Amino acid sequence: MRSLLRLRRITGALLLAFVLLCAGLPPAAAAPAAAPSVAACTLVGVTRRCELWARAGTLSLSGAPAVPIWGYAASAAGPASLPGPTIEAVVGEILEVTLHNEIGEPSALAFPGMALASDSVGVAPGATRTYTLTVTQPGTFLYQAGLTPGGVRQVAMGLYGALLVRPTTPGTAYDLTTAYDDEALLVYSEIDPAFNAAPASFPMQQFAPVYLLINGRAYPESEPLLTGAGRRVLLRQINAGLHHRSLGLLGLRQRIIATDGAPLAQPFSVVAETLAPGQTLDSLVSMPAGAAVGTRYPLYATGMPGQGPGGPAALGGMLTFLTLQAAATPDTAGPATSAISVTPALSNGASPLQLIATISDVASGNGAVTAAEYFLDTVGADGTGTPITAGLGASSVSLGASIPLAALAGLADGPHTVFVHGRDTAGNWGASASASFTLDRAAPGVSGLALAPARARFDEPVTFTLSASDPATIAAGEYFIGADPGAGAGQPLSPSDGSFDETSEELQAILSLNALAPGTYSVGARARDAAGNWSAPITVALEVHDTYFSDGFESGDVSAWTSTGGNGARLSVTSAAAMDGTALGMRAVISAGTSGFVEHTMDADRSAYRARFYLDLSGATLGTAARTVFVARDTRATPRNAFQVQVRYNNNRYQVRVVVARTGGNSSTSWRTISGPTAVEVGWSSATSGSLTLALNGVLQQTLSNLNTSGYLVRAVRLGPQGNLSGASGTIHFDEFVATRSTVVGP
Amino acid sequence: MRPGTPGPLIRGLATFVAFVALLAAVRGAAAQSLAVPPNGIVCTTSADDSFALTATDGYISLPDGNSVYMWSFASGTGPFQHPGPVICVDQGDTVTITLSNTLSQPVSLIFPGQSDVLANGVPSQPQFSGATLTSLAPAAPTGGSVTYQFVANEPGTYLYESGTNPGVQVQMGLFGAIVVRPAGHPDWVYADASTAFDPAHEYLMLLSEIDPYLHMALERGQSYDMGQYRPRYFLINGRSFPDTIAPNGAAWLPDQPYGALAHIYPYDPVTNPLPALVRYVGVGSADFPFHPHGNHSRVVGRDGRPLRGDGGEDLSYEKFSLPIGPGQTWDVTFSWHDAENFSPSNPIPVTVPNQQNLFAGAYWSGSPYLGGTGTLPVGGEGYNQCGEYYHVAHNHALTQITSWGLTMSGMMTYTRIDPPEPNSCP
Repeated sequence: MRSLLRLRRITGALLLAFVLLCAGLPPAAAAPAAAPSVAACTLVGVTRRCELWARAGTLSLSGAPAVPIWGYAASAAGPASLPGPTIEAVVGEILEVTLHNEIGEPSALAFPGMALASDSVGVAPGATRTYTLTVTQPGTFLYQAGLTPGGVRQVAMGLYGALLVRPTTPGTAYDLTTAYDDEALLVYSEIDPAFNAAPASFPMQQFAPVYLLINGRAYPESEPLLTGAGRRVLLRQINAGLHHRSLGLLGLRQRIIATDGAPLAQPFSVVAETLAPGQTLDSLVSMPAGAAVGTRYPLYATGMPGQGPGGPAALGGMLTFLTLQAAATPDTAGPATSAISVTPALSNGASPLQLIATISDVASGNGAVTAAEYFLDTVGADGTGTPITAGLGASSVSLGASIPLAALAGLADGPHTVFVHGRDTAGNWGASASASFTLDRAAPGVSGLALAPARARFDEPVTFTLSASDPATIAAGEYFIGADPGAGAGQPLSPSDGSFDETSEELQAILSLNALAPGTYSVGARARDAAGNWSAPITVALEVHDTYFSDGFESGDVSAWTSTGGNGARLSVTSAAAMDGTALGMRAVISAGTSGFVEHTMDADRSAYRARFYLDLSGATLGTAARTVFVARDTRATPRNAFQVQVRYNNNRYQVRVVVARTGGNSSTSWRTISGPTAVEVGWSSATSGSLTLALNGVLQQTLSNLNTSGYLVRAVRLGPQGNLSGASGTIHFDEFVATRSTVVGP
Repeated sequence: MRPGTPGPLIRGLATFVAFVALLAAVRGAAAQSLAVPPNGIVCTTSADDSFALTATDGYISLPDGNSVYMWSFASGTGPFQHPGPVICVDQGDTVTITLSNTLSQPVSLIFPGQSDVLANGVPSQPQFSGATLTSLAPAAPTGGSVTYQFVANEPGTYLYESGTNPGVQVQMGLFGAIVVRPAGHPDWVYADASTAFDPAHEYLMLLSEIDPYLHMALERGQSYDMGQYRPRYFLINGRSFPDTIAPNGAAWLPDQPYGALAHIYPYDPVTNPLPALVRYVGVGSADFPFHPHGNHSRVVGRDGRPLRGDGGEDLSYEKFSLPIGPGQTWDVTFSWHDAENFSPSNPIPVTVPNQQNLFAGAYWSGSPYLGGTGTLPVGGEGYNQCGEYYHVAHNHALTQITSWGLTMSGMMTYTRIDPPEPNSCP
């Protein structure tokens, strides 16, 4: 069984009175009032964030009707408690207490004794406000509803609780001269049910308390203070009532060490002392060393109040007992350490390591864990390790610490061990638990960076391969195209065998070049090991082009083309048709109104197409009609020509032009005179405001602009005399056909 | 402080009683025991430090003419008295107190400030019937008795009171004081030479209160709702002013043997260097802010411990308002210092109006100087005897220097300062 009193800390647990348990016969009673819980706070660094909900509730006292109260709750769904949840902090912390006001009028929070401006406005019902204060002094303090217009009545309705600020030295109230074994929080308060029934209108001059409470309970439901012979008990007393109240002990004395959280330079000893409303008092009681187990020492209101349902024997309810329980066997066992981990377990020493461990004294004396430390690789004498300071104080603690870079810098690569242990309030250091980590600062090596192909069209995938090796394990790889973005910022490489688990890995990626303009690029890559070390980068060149197709007929035939059309017999590859310094070219014979053409079909519809070929009309008889020698075709649905190159003989000259289809019809360049082998280059794009260019022998001849060619895409081209050849005869030579997306080919 | 005017008849009665009290205080009434000094603490001692207390009932007189039914402790088979006897022992004595109970409820004794109290030979512990607390100490049933014993380890002033139904029984009057004197030094408060006092000027101020309706209900065997508790009478040593300034053992207060007049001489470094000692004990329901007029009092001890630091530092302090809380004892020394030494040769720099323009109080001696007397106005009451001074000492919660609304009564007494000897004081 546990009581209000606990070893060095307050549990605030709900429990039955010692006397009730021993007698085995609790009186018929309503559910006892909730004992003060501990406020739910989270500690982030040195900031402790707590929340309080001010809401209506009920105080149930044995033998009495339930009394409506206003109290602070410890959770969003929890009941209002009287007194409110105890806020426990450590000196030096910044407290951020958020008030959720759920009573029907404005309410604020006040912290008497703290350097915090008074809030006399508060927050509206349903709203919240956070109060920030730094607890610079240890001590016992009261928090309560602030002095809004209804604040006085709110406090009398139950809106108060304790704020305990502990010094950094556990087991002391202020310093080592105020050390104690057991601690009890005693919040004294008064209830006048007539006031609680009508808090807004009740005339406060008539306030006459019926119930006198210790921690919200009236005797016989007040909780006993369990302690042991020879122990030193700290009584943290707070008068949250409306009257001065003298509290005293029978058979014991109390040494007054502080009032209102201010330690006395010279404590003094009394049996009973008067607390004014709002006053706090800290006293130490030394339990006699030789008294028997079970001895009870009353702590009571020495004014001997006679009112209340408990009658004159219960002193209005403000009565409890300091009770001696069996002496605890001396605590010689230190706390146990478990759940220890170091993260990351594999490190390259570039970041601090996070150490986590759970240290518990629950099974070894149930003291508090008051110190902890760690050692690297070699365990030293107790207390000489690196201290872990945050999070101490409870009987089971989850601690975290950061092993700094400076500590790692002195360690060689390889496996290392961290040892952690803790110390309890009795001064026992427990056994150490350990966790391992490995330092690996060796960077991997990379080689064999290859691109397949190393020269690719913009819409072709390029396979990227790389070999990486490391004394440990390769964990990742990355590549980048162009400038090096820095280690870790590249595009990921995948392991060829599917997993990063070996000291040597083949890494790969499929590069997508769509965003790249034709040109030469530097592709770089590097690998990283599991410890986080990146290798130096390695680079290789990648050439991106946009040539769809080219053929100069040097193969001796037209097999590079997809097919032939017209009368294929009319076509031949011969040296007589070679142009531009090559060996072979294509000759097309026009006879009986027919000829042949070669056709190339691409793998996709293209929205940009530039065609360059050498053309020699010298051997042809054309007449003045336009003859088509090249078409670029849109093969979707009904095939149409996106654009075509036409030739004629006019005015003793050979001429060439381009006809381009657009919305609403065709547009054409003017006829351009050519003579002998000529490089004809046409640039076309599909756009709502597209353009078409014609260049001859590398010289731009004409640009047609604002053509709505958006309805056309080029899939296939035909090179050769085609269409209406009636009246034409002779031969036309073609050579060095190149088709790109947009790159100018030139002569 | 000017007298109030509650009404000519009552005021006159109070004044008459005060006069008689004052005369008797000095000269002693015939019924007094010669062993009992007229003023100052009245100790009950025992050669073997064994005492008998009988819980019994009786009546006390109050200055508004009422008698109130009381419960109290008589000394053995002696007559009813309120409060109970002042038990005086020496440090280290084993004190045995046998309680016999004639009341209709069980009665016990608790001794705040004492440790290791035995009741019938075993440690005195709270008593339970099943799970119900019945008493803070073993109780004597009606007609029965319990013997308590403790060693008075520490000198000082202490309280004894009933621990059974204390919310009612203590209010009914079941309390008394204990004085423990340092071994070998009855003229010190504590085992500390700096707490020396003049043993001829030692006073007890046991401060209490009465709700007459509670007492009337118990007198009639009726129930009483303690939620209605409201004290109307406020007492020092069981008496209400002006009975407080009547002598110990005054014949007209047969059941209230203890007065509260502090009767001292001015401080003199040679002839009167030691202070008077006033032992305050609070047995009310709340703090009584007791306020002796004149210069400050010095608080030298609390609840039976001297005010000394761990290193022997003197932590005593001066106060003119002593907040005597319930269950608390305050040991206070007092010396009256004549700060101005006014005398005929060092006159008070005030032009005294002629007698037709003077109002003379009841204690006016005719001269403003200590030891001086003079012509009193015609019809002046003339209670002053030998040019002595009077300072009122009273509860400064002024609603408590009343008796059921009657002002200038209640928790109030005087400090009387006689002129240094030789004087003409009786």
